[in-house]
Amino acid sequence: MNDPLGMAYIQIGPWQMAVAVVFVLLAGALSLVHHLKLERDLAIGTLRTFVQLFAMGYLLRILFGLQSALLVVGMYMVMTWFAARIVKGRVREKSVDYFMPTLLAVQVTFFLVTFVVTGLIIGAKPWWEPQYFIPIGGMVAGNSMNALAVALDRLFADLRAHRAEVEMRLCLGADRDEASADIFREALRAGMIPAINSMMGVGLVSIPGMMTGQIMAGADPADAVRYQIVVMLMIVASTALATFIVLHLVRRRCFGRAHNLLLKA
Amino acid sequence: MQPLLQFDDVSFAYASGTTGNGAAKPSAQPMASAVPSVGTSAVPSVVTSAVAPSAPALQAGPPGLAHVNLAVHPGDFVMLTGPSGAGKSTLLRLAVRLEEADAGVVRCGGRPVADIPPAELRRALGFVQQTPTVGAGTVRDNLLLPFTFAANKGLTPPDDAELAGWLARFRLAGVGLDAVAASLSVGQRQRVCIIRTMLLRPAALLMDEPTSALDQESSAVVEALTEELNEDGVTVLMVTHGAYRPVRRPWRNVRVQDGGVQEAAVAASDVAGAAAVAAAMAAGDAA
Repeated sequence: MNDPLGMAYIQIGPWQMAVAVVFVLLAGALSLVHHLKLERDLAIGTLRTFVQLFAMGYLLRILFGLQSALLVVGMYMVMTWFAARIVKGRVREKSVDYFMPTLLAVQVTFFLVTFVVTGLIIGAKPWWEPQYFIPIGGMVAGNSMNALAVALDRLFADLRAHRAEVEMRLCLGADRDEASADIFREALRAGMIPAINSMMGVGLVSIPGMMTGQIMAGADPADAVRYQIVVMLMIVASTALATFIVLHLVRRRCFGRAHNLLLKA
Repeated sequence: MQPLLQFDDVSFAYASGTTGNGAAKPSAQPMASAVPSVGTSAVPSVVTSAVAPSAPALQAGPPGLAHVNLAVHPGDFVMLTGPSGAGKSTLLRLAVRLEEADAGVVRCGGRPVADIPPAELRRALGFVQQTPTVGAGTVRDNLLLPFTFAANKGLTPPDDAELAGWLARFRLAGVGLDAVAASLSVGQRQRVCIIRTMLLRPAALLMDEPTSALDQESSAVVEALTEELNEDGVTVLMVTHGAYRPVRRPWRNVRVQDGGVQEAAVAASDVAGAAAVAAAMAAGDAA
């Protein structure tokens, strides 16, 4: 772990990369033979994987080299914005605007959780050291994104499906929070459960990607395990925090000034 | 006499898919204040109708209302009739602000409903849903639900004796307070829902087809009890599609049609018909 950018691992050269492309060609052949019509998507997907990851690689190399706080902030803004956009693309609701709450939830979570991990747990100096801050933050944002999409979908679907119950409570004097307390709780649970479940199978079925990477890069597996544990716990906290923030902000947008439910079945 | 509930040139149109954002409502107040207040007239039951001709405020699609004027006085028993989709339920929903008027003013006790805290408004105008909705837990849990909300914290929850009294009055003496609410029949649940609303001592009951999901026997019980409550002074607005008309109480027939309301005469045949239905039911009970 002393030198993560060192050369303690076997590098993959261009010819070896070409061999990996054979994997995709096999999948393409299958698609052609069975008329799956996936060739186009496979080609585009492969191309995007190359372009996006190489771009990210070069960007990170520049970022790590410059050690510029401003660039880290820029990267943070771009990553969180894309995360919010992807959530918006996944949730089907169209009548409530939840983009800004989503962006805010991702930004707050990314910043707080990543700061605790890099600054307090890992002890990177400075705490925004891009080599730690960006990859850790990326994992926080990526996992929050999934939790947010699940939780928002659940909130909207349940408010529509259980409109009678919500309006029953409203008519008996409940405010919007009291009227939707059960729905809020279930949406929060839905957002948090995948991250909690992933703690159950880890180490039994899968070796998590980050740990795999560290081990292959020559790190002591015992060290890699510590990082992975921090990451797992961090992800659970991220999904909880992001989901809580977004549900809190979006729920009120589902109601009018009179504490009347705006979403119709 | 001050009307308990008054619709003053009220218009409403459903936006497609959802109602409009509360913040984006056009300001209706100045418009409405120019309209002479109909309900403050000394005539007890005043309804004017103004069916807007080809109302531009109404788009094609879900039911809307245009320039509705209606005054309901304390103690009235108002039957809201008319074709389905005419906006009868919408009138009740506007009164308790489950929907908000696009234009015009709805008043409760003389105050615009927009100026009344929603919980207070909904305590005064008890809304009974078409399909009885009970939550998890026992009958007692359901009856006491309103008293768990912050807005009702100042009210003293009824004790078991009072609740049992209500159950007996609503012919639910056989149903214990500890019974699981979800296990009751639809008719029993509707009666529990009405009791739950009544526990907040509303001035009026706004009932949205309260018996449409009920069997004949439960319907008869609910209808008889509603008349009884009206006799005790509770104002009633009931949306109906069915044949029921009040038997023991004088009532008003307000027809909602084509986006407007019209007070119809209570025909003698209606009264006779209702009496015949009641008699037939009584005979059925006896048999």
